[in-house]
Amino acid sequence: MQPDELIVLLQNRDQRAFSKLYEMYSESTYGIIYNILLDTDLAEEVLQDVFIKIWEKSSTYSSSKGRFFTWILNIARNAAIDKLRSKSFKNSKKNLDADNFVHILEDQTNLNQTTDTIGLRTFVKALEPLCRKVIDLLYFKGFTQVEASEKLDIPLGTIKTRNRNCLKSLRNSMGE
Amino acid sequence: MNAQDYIASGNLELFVYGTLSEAENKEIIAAMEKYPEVKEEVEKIEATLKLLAEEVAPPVSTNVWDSINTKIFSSKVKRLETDKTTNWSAIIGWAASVLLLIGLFWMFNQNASLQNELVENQKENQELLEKIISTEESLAETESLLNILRDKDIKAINLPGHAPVAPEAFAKVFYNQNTQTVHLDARGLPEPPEGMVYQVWSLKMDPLTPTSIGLLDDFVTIENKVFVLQDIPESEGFGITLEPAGGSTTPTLEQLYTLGVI
Repeated sequence: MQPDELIVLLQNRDQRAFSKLYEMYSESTYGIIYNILLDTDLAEEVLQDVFIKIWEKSSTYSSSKGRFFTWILNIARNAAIDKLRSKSFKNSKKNLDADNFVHILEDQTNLNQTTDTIGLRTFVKALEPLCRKVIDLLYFKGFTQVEASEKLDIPLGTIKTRNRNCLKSLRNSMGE
Repeated sequence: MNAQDYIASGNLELFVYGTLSEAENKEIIAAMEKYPEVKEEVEKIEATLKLLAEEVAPPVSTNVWDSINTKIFSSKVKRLETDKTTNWSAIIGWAASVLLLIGLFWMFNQNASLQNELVENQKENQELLEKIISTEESLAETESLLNILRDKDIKAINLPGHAPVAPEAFAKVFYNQNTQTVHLDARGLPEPPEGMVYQVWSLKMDPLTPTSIGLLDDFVTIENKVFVLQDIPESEGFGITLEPAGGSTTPTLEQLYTLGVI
């Protein structure tokens, strides 16, 4: 469900609605940013900018164009990628496709340690390697189908279906 | 495409990713409005993706919200506090009194316009009340007429137009012999010319004896054109003639408008 009332309140510059929406979306937004930057300090800095932008540009969102989640996702990806390309970042390290969310799940010991998470981590690990890559590129990194097909060297026509099947099996294993 | 086609297409996932073209987006949104299953599927995909993203990062530090809050909601206040060269308290004081004046003026205006509105509403209420009362009155009138017409002792007599004078005219008499009352529906009569009046006659047939039973002097003002005439002698027919104001002792047969027998 999309919190339509909160969104309308946000667009009317209601502080409490903004705070609620932050509660609802900050963790996932942070996840996207972190998956691109792989640095907690930088990711938190970008998260701040993203939510300030959400507050300032809320009037440009319209449900007739897409999901609120998607709107935030786009802002977050763009902000994180801008940061990645910025000078300050280049001086420090890493580049965009060095890693993906599976490695993060495997490597980090300080992730959200709820039982749900542990379950999810298992399911993600159970995914085929290609599935992880497809989801990582299309979802976390915002690649187009063409870009993903070139990157992974698989036929363009199969990307969409493969992505759907991958997400589907993730959902199934999550017991939906 | 039907709902299943949309779900199977793989486009709903890309829609949530935000990697479809604007036209494709529009198509999905239309499909979501048309098919609840499509909407539900999109929401499930979104929920899965949201959860996935939430779980790939450490928890967000509470500092982030604090500094967002400070940046958005208290930036102006901060600037005021740090600027020592300007007498902000005086400026704020003046600004506040100007605002107060504007506010008072505005409230005064609001109050005046509200009072106008109130008076107008009261007028409107009064008018509506009057309308209701007059409607109720006319309803009661219609109901009592209906009761009279339903009385079992009533005879209804058609008075068709008298061809040489007024072929289009007609009238209807509801005659109650017991109460010696006649209700006359004269809607089918034309308006009488200035200085003339319709006169209603009760007729006995053998020999033909007309007796005046009333004048319709207020014909123009009575809206439903139903007239009540009383003390009617035993009648075998009724006629209506046009007579000079005040009526005549015998009917002017050249001006016989309608005539009917029982």
